[in-house]
Amino acid sequence: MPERHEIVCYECGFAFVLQGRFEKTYCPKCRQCLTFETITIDGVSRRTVKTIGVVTVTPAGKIAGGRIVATDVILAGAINGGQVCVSRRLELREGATFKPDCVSMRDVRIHAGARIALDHDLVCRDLEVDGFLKARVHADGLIAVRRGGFLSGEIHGPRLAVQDGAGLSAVLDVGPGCAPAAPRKTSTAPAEKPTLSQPETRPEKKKRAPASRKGKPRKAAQNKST
Amino acid sequence: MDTANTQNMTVIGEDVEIVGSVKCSSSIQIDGKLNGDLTCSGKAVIGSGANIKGNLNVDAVSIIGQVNGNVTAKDIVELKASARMNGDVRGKRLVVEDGVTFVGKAEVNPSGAATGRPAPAESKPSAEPEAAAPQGDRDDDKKGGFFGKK
Repeated sequence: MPERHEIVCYECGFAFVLQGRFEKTYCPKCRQCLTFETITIDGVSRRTVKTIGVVTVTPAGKIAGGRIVATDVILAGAINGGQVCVSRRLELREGATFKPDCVSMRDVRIHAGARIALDHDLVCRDLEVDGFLKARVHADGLIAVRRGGFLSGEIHGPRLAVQDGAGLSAVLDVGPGCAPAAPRKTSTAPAEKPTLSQPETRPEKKKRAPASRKGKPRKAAQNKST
Repeated sequence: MDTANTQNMTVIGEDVEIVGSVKCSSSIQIDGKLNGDLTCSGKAVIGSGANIKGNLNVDAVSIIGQVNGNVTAKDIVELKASARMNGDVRGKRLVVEDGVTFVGKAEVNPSGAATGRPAPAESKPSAEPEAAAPQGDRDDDKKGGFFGKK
């Protein structure tokens, strides 16, 4: 089966699915041309990058400015400035550091072997821990700690799953009624999606009887005849 | 689990309410109410209709109902999807299914090594040993596990 891609338009935020291989596509909603690129950053970067693919920041990579918009970001380096908008998942690998004000993401994954300690709150939808994470976690979705992973700190969210062999040393507030305390950052999509302008009140349409056409020749018939 | 323990399992029915401590050396299944502590040398099963108000000190425990108290286990603590846990959990292994309500503190470290757990005030410097990496991920290829293969 061809590979399935879940795409979020980085202009209007419309989400759709495509299958197969492609370099470019168009958003069905805003018709914006979306490029599917895999970009690797291995130095200091201050450029603007927009892609519906994956951006990888190597251990030597450092984002100091500019704007990066991608579906997935694999971070092994540092994000010290600029703006990084991840529409789907931010994967943290060993040596990754980032400033919370510079990154917005939906889901977070801690790669196996990574050791991440955050001073700030980690706000996300889903969190997947395969390595070591020490943080105050506020999630809207599922927090999953896999075998071999270790989660330390505080956990706030509606759902938690811990696999046998995982480690946990945290204060928990987990349950269907537990809402994340910290406000959640929005994803890549702009805050205001373009909507069709509609008047607030619609005048009532009055039905009127169709006008009689007796004696009046139809325009179409005249055109055909000529 | 030992077959001897399964054969000697004590079952406390749904309509039973116990006020006081319960001690047993074999496995026990509680489906009723217990207002007191439970000490069990085998495996304890807290049924779906059970309501425990007290501490559990067991070898292994599987919680399906409600527990208001601390749980200390020598081996595994399992929280099933309908479990409601209000207290602290301390054990060697922990399994939590999606859907659990858990308010409290958990202290579980299956590897036992200093995998970067925050150092207590009276011991160990903050520098974490590089070798103390989680060991479980190497076994993932062999075992399917709860989440399946990666």
